[in-house]
Amino acid sequence: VTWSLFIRGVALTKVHLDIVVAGFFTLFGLWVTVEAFRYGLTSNIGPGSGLFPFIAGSLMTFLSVANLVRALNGSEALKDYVAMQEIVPILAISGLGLFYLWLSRFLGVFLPLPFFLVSVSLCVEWRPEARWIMSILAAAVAFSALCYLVFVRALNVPIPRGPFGF
Amino acid sequence: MASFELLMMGLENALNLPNLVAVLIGITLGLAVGALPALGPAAGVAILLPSIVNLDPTVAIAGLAGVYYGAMYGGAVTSILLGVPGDASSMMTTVDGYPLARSGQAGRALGMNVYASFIGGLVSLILLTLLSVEIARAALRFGPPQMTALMVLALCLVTVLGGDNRYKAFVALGIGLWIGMVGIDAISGRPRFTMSNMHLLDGFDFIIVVVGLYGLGQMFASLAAKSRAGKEDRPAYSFRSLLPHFGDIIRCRWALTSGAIVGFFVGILPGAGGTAATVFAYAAAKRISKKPEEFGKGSIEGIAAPEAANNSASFASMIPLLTLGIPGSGTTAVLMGGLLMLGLQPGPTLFTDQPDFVWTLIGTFYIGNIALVFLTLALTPLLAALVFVRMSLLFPIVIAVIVFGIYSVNFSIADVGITIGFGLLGYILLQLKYPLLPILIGVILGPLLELALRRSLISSRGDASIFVSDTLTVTLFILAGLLLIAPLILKMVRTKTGIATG
Repeated sequence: VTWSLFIRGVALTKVHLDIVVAGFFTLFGLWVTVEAFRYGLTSNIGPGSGLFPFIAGSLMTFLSVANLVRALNGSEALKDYVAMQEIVPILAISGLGLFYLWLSRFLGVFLPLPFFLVSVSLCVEWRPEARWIMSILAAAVAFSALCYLVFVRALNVPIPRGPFGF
Repeated sequence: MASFELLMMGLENALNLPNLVAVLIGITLGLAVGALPALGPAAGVAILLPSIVNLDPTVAIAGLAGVYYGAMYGGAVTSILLGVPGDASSMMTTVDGYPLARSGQAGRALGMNVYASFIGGLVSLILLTLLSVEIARAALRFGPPQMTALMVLALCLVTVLGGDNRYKAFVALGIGLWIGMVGIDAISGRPRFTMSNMHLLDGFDFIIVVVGLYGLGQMFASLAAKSRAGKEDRPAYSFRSLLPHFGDIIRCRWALTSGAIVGFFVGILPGAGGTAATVFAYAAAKRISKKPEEFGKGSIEGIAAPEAANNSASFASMIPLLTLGIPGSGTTAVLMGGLLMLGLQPGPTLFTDQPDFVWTLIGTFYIGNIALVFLTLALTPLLAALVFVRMSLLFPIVIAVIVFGIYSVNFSIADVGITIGFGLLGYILLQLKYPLLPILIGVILGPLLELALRRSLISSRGDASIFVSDTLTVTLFILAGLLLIAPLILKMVRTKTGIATG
């Protein structure tokens, strides 16, 4: 599996992902180290605010470089790949989660909750059958009602409410 | 007061209704969490952590600990009935448990799992009661330099023993240390890594990190694994085949004893954890068994030893947590986060400042260990049914629990978004074999290590020789150093031997 498969939307090799992540952590470690110098390694009472960040940043930078070299050399035993069929449901669920949070500002938390739960369920197992959707919708409504009773009634959590008061 | 009297007081308190109810609910939830596909003890405790914020500390931690050891048992149910380990520490149970279940003896395997968990837990709890006060008393004499050395050793243990790739484990540790540094510096009062964001002045909430990385990250990884595996044929079991055999306890007495002892001494080491304990216990049981040839083909002793070790290790890992304030596994790291959230500082002073809490907690462990036997024997058929729950039903429910749990901590929608971000990060890191435990330990121990390090240097006016000024500190640093270089030396020796032998 090569970059071309990724570009065509089929898969992403773990080796390539490993290179990207190791590169990111190298830069991230460098940023932490540079910031550490800005905070100061020493102060008039001894160690400065930057001493510990300097140790952590250096650790991250040097070992991420080692990881990067190992990934580029093929020393890592990451032979398989992340298929798009694995990534899509995870990204879809995360996206749906963020959309649900945005929507809950206007509609409250409980009104869109059953639909969010049903869509998560469909992301996990795509079964566009009316009977299946109705059964998971019923389960989602029941679970939303349970959440309302536990969090709003029993625990008094101030949940954002929608136009219908829940 | 002697340990025995303190324990009696703890047992009496543990039998108070709120504590007892918390233990029973915790164990029941833990059994379900362990038996459900895709959830392990650490993920289960992490997901339930936000729900305990407003509870009494003893009730809260007793409940969470119940989830922990309940899930250890529940994980074995998946191993035995499906041949898929519920979590890493149930791996060895699969080797003999699944063949036994397939031969129509699932009940024998599940029953042995209950007895072994009980005996392993009991042995470990007795040792915990006898040793914890002495360890805490010794640790009370530790000053900042000794604490620095001890925490460095613990971080090295967790990082070296906790994953296959030490480079990635140390990068993960670096990420955890960084997360722990975000916010106002405790000594100078200066904001660090806040990127001028007011919300980051208090740092990342531990609960968000742990629920995102451990809870959501693990769920995403399980979802990906399910997509990879596709549809699978799952075996069916009759109710009769799920009934236990009581006579197996006598037959497996040596496997149970050796498993419990091995589990305790391996489990007490930070980073070694339940998985290593079960592997060692399995090997030891095979060595002392009269029928070693049956191991791997459905030996009941092959279930007894790792399950006794597993539960023994889970209680043993409470010793470094409670006496030294050092979590040794993912689940104890989450529990330590829970203790800190509730305003309790684990460590030697916990035994002197909060003896009621500590001994009531230990008392709930004893009660929980007994309750586990009755609950599991009663609930086994139900747990066997839970193993087959569809992920499309389970996943939305867990997501909803996470969303509401995280929201109810700070009443912040943004926190839920950050949790999803940590979930994605956890998934990516798991795919690339970055261990998550060093991140968690870094987040928890990082701020404590920094404080101990800087206090040491402030007291010595910046003179680093304070770290070589006494034997204990030097010994701990040497042990940490040896841990780091030992794998390199072993590799060099192996290469040299390989060249010499051709």
